[in-house]
Amino acid sequence: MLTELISILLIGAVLAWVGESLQFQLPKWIALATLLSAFYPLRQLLVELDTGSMQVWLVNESIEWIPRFNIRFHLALDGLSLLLVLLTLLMGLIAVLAAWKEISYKPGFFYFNLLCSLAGVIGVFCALDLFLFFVFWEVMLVPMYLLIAVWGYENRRYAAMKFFLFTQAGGLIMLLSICALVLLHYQNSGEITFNYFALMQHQLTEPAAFWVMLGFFIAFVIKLPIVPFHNWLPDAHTEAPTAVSVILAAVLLKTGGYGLLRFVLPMFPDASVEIAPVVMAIAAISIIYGALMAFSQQDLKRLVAYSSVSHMGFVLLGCYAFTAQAWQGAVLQMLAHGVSTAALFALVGAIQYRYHTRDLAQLGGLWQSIPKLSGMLLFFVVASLGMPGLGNFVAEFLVLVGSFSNYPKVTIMAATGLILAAVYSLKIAHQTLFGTLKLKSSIDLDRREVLMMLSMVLLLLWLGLHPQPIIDLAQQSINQLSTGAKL
Amino acid sequence: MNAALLPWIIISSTALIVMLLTAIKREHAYISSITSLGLFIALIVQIINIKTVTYESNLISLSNTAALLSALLILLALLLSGLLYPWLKNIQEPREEYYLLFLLATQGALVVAASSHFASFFLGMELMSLSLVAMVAYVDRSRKSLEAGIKYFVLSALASAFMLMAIAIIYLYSGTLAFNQILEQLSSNPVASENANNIILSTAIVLLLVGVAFKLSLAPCHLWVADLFEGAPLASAAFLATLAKAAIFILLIRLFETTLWYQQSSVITIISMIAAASMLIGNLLALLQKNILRLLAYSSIAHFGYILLAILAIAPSAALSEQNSLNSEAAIFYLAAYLVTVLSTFAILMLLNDNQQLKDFNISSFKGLFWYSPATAIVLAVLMLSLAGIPLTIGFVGKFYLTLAAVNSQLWWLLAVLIVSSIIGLFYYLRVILSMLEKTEQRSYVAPASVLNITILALISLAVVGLGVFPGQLALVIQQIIIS
Repeated sequence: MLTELISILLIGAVLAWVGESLQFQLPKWIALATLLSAFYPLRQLLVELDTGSMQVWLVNESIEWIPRFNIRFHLALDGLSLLLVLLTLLMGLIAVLAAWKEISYKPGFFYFNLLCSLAGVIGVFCALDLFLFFVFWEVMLVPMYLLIAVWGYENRRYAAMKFFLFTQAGGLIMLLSICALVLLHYQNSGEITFNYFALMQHQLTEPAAFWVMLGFFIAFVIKLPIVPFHNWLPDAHTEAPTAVSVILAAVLLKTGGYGLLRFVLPMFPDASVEIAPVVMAIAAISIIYGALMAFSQQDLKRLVAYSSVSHMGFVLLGCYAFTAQAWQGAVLQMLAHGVSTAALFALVGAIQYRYHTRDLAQLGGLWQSIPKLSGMLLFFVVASLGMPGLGNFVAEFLVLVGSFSNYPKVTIMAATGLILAAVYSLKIAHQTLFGTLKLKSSIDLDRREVLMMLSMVLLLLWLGLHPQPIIDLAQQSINQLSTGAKL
Repeated sequence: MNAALLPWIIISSTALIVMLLTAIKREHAYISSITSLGLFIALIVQIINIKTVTYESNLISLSNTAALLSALLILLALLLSGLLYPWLKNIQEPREEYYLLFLLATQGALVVAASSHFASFFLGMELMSLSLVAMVAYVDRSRKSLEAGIKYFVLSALASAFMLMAIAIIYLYSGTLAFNQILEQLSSNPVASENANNIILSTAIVLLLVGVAFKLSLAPCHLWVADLFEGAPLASAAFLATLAKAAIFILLIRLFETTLWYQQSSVITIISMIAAASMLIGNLLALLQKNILRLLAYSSIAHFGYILLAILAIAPSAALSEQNSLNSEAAIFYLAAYLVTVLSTFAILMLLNDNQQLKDFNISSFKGLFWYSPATAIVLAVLMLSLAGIPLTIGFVGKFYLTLAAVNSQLWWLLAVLIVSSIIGLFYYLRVILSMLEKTEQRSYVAPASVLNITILALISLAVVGLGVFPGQLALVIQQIIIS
C-alpha cells in the first residue's frame, strides 16, 4: 500500500516530465491527477478507520533489500505517520495549485522535482528501517535543492546551497549515529540489523546512548529548525518559489519533529530525559528569538519564515516535556502550523505575483484593492497568532499545559512567545492590509485560489473546533512513547 | 603453466599482436577491436578464475580477493579501451601505438595488484609508470601535454627512487623481499630485533609511504596531480585516475595486511595524518578550481584520503571481529564505486570533447548544458552526486560501507574530519550541477545522439544508479569472495 503510494508519485513525476514535450500545460494537470490518485491506495484505511479499536501499526510492509547488512525495504504506518502523510498529500495539492500560474519555465521538470520530493517525504514518514529512513532523508533534499536553485528568486543559488549543506551536515552526523547504534546492537546481540523495532528493544547504556542520541538530535533539530541551526531557513524560504515555500514550511520542517517523536524519544528515553531541561530552554529561546526576529523583518516572506522558527519551537517544547498532553500538542502543532504557514506563504506568493514586491514598506492598503485576498490573509494571520477556535490555539495550548507541570519557568517564558506572535502577526495585517494604497490595484483571487484558501480555512477550523479525531488517531503512537519513557 | 596467469598471458600476447600488426599495416579500427577483444577474453577468463583457481608463488599471489580486484582492473581497462577509438580518431598523431602503451600499462597495473614480493611490485610499477609517461605526453602538439609528461616522468622517477631506497633498507635488515617473510625474518634477525623501534627501519617505512603517497597523490605529495589531469590527454588522465591509482592502492592494502603494519602505532599515526590531510587539502583546494579536470584531480586526492580510513579500520580488535572481512569489503566496495564513477565522468568528458564550447572544460562553460543536452547533463549530475555520496548512487553505498567500517574501528577524529570535508566537498560538486542548471537561451550545441553516446550514457546510469539502488547482490558477491 505504501510502496504503491510512493510509486504512484514517482511514476507521476516521470510522466509530468515527459508530458512537457507533448503539451506545455500538461505537467500541472498530471501533477494534480497524481496527487489525487495518491489517495487511492489509502482509501481502505481512511474509510474503515476506527480510532477506538485500531492497532498501533495500521500497515506494515517489508521486502528484503540489502541482505549483506540485513537491510530491508520496510515501510509502516501508524496514526502519527498517517496524519503526516495526509498532510503531505494535501499540502502537495496546495503547492501544485499555488504553482499553477507562477511556474512557466520548464514546468515538466518543476513538477517532476515537486513530486519526487513529496515521495521522499512520504518515505521519511513511513520508513522503519534506519538505513531506508536515511536514504529517504537525504534523497528528498536533491529535488528540493533543484527546485530552489532553478525556480527561486534573485539569490537562489546561495540559498539552495546553504539549505543543502546544513541538512547534509546533519545527515552525515546522523549516519554516524546510525552506524554506531547498529554496531552496538551487534555487539550485544550478534545480529546486524537496521530494523527500528529490534534496535529499540536494546536500550543503550550511558555514555554511548548520549552520543548516539545527540547525532540523531542534531540532524532533526537542524531540520526543525531550532535557534543555533535555523540559519538556512529564512534564506531558503525567501528565495524559494511559492509552491516550494509551501512544501518546505508545511511538510519538510515536520520531518524534524517526526524524527524526534519516532526515533529520538523512543529509542533513547533515558538520555532524552536527561537533556530535557537544556532542550526545553533552547526551545523557549527559539520561540522568543524567532518571534523577535520575525518582528524586525521588512520582507514579508522572511517574516513568515522566522515565525516558523518560533512556532516550531513549540514542537520541540512539546516533545521534551514528557507528558502525553504536550506530545499531543506537538503533533497538533505540526499539523496546524503546516496548514496555516502554507497558507501564509501561498498568500504572500499571491501578493508577489500581483505586485512584484514583498517589501512591507511598499505594501499597504491592499484591502481596498483586493478584498478577498486580504480577508484570507487576515484569517491566517489571526490563526498564526493563536486565536481560540483555530488549530494553532489548540496545539499551543496543549503544549503549554503539558509542559507547565514539569517546567513552569520555561513554560512561562515560552508563553510570552504567544504575545510576541500577536505583535508580529498584527504587524503583517497592519502594514499590508490597512493604510493608504501605495500600489496600483490588481485582480483579486481567482476561483482556483479561493478554492485553495477555503480548503485550508476549513482544515484549520476543523483542527480548532473538533480536534478529537486527530488526537485519537495519534493516541496510540503517544501511548507507545509514554510506555517507553515509563510515565 | 597455471590457469591463474592466463589473463596476463592473453593481455601480453594482445600487446605483442598489436605491435606486430602496427608494424605490418596500420589500421586503426582493427587494432582497436583487437585490443578490446583481448581485454574482453582476459576479463572472462579472470572472472571464471575468481573462485576456482588460486595461485601462490614467491613473486605473485593470486588469491580470491586479488583475482576479484584483477577482474575489476581488467573491466575498467576494457571500458576505457572502448572509449579510445572515438577519441583517437580525432587526433593527428599516429594512433596505433597508443593501444600498445595502454595494454602494457594495464599489464603493469595487474602485476602490481597481484604482487607479493618487492621485485615483482617494482617491475610492475615501472612497466605501468613508463608506459604512462608516454601516454601522458602522447599528443605532442600540445605543450600542456608535454609539460605534464615531463612532470610525471621526473616526479615518478623520484618516487621510484624513494621506494627503491626503502626496499633496499628493508632487505638490509630482513634479508628478504617477500612481503610475508619480512616480519618473520626481522624478528629472527638479532640486529633488527634488538632495538625494535629501529630508526632506520622506520625511515624505510616512511620512504615507502612517500612513494605510495606520490602514486596515489595523497597529501602532501599531491602537487603534481592537478597539472597532470589538466594537461594529459583525457584517456591517459582517465587511466591515471583509475587503473594506476587502484593498482597501487590494492598493493597498499596487501602491504598493510601481510606485514601487520596495523600493529605499529607509528605507521598508523602517519597514515592517519596523511588521510586527514588529504581529505581536507583535497576538498579545500577543489573549492578554488575553475576547471572540471582540476576539480576531479583534487577530488581524487580527497577520495583516496577517505578510502585510507578503510585501511586504517583493519584492526582485529573491532566489534565486528568475526566479520573481519567488513574492512576489506569496505575498501573494495568504495574503491570499485569510486573507480566506476570517475571512469564514467571521464567517459562523459570524452563524449563532450568534440564540442568546441567545452574544449577547455571550464566549469562555467557547462552553463545551460542541462537544457540543451539533458541526457548528458543528468548523467553528469548523477555522477557528481555519486562522488559527493548522496543516496541512490553507488558512491553513497561506498561511503556507507566506509562509515560503518570506521565506526566499527572507532576512528572518531578521522570520522569528524570526514564529515567536515564531505560538507566542503559537496559545495563544489553542487557548483558543477548549478552551472549546468543555469538558464540559458542560446542553443549553442546539440549533441548528436549517436548510438555510441546513448549506449555509454545508458551503461553509466545503469552502473551508478542501478548499483546504488540495488547494491545487495554485489555486496553479497564481494563478501563471499573475501571470506572464501
